[in-house]
Amino acid sequence: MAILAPEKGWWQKKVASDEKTWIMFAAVVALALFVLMVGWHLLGKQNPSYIVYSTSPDEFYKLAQANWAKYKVGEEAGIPVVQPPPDADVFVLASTWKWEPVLVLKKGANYKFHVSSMDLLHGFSIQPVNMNFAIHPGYDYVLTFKPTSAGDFRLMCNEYCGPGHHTMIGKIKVED
Amino acid sequence: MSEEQAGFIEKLMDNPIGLLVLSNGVLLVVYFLWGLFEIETIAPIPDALKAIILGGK
Repeated sequence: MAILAPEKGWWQKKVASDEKTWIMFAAVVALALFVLMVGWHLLGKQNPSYIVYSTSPDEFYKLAQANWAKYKVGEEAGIPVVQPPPDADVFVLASTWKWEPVLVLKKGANYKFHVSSMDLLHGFSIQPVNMNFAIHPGYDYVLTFKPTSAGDFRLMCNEYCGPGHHTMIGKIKVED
Repeated sequence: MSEEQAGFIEKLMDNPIGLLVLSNGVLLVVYFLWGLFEIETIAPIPDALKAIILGGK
């Protein structure tokens, strides 16, 4: 906003040629930024998948239990350890204040994660790779996921979800 | 007709508070309606996928 109001009758005055040039320049820059923003959104590989289904916590829990029963290989502190084959659907469940299950994945293989919350908003954050996703209850977020390095990764909640929020840490093991 | 229209736009352009309210208000309404549309059009989990997941080994 200009500090001083324009002179009376500015609307009727012709726009000077240098001002027209600047208006055109600004319009071209704005248009280029818009195209870049939309283009990068479509072409860049930084965006998570767009697949979201509506569900209910009960339904998702039932599906998750069936999925884990199929691929369960053990248990760690009462939490199932699940080793799905490449290209499988993998169910990850967030609830106050834990992530289930412990996942054992293969480096370079593709997985289709289904992530949902049982109660309130949680943040699905894989560390140290810093992949983040907000998880609301009532929705099944489908994320295609391909681990590119082996090792132990932590699944943190990065949306404050109550007094036990800081203890909400899950585990993903990626094997060679 | 065109002069009346120009008069209105001129008045609007000379009103910084009006422009501020309008520019925020338009985005507020558009994003609110867009959000409602997005939420209302989320499909349930397909039955075929549910059958695969619940279908055992």
